[in-house]
Amino acid sequence: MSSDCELFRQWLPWYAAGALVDPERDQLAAHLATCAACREALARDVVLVGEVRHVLDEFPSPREEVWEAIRARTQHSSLARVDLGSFVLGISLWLVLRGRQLLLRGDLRLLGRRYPLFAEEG
Amino acid sequence: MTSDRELLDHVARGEEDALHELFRRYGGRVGRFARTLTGREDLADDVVQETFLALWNGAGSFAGRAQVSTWLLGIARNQAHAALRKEAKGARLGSVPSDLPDPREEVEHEARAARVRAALERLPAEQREVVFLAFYEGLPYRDIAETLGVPEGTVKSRMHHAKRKLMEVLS
Ligand SMILES: [Zn+2]
Repeated sequence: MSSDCELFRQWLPWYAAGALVDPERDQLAAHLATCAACREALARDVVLVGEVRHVLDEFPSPREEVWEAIRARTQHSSLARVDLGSFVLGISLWLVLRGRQLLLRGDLRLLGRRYPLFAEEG
Repeated sequence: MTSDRELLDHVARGEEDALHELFRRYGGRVGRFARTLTGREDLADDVVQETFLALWNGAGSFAGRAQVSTWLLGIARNQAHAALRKEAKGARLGSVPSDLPDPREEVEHEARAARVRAALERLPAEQREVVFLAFYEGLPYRDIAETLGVPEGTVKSRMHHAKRKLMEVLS
């Protein structure tokens, strides 16, 4: 293994994961074209990446209860909320505590679409 | 489709629907990262919850330099470390009881996956997160270095050590 190879081997796992960016990606691709040892090492890394992804894919996504728990706590942080009207035409107003600022927010709902009632501040 | 950035603006205005949409888009990835870091399903749920609440409260402070997903993973990482600190007084940070592979496992592929999972869980937390961010999230090492706040060389050396241990169970 040449000293070039040593440098390129550091990049291999990222290349195998599709996470190496240029200019390194091009440089490594050029080296791979000429170096069988690094191609073999790449093949091993590709297998490893596949195995690790397979294992991580098995971890379940958060359950719907997790969202419910989040929602309960975001509603707690909106201090007051009023919904008036219907799907066709309605208004929602709510107070939000953000940091130490108390903000009044609101939407006009028209046929299911929402239009903010207050100009956004930067 | 509404962009992540737009959704984040809506979240900053206190719109819960936008938060829900970001949860739908990224809850799975945040959850798997949390599970990878903490090694526990129950803690992972807590971390997801805290991460999206931090997003709810901090959406206005997003700098816009990174991608929203990367930013979220950074928050999740902080929350995971906080959860582990709170949880395991005295226990080593991120050390994980691993499910050892069952020797009677019939299907070779499943046995191998179990070995890889056990090896992954035995890695030190700082190596495990690099493996997750590179292999699962496909993040370039520069982005990982930025997310973790360590030099690029450190990221590469953590990967080097992690890979050596993971390779052992594959051969
Ligand atoms: Zn080579």
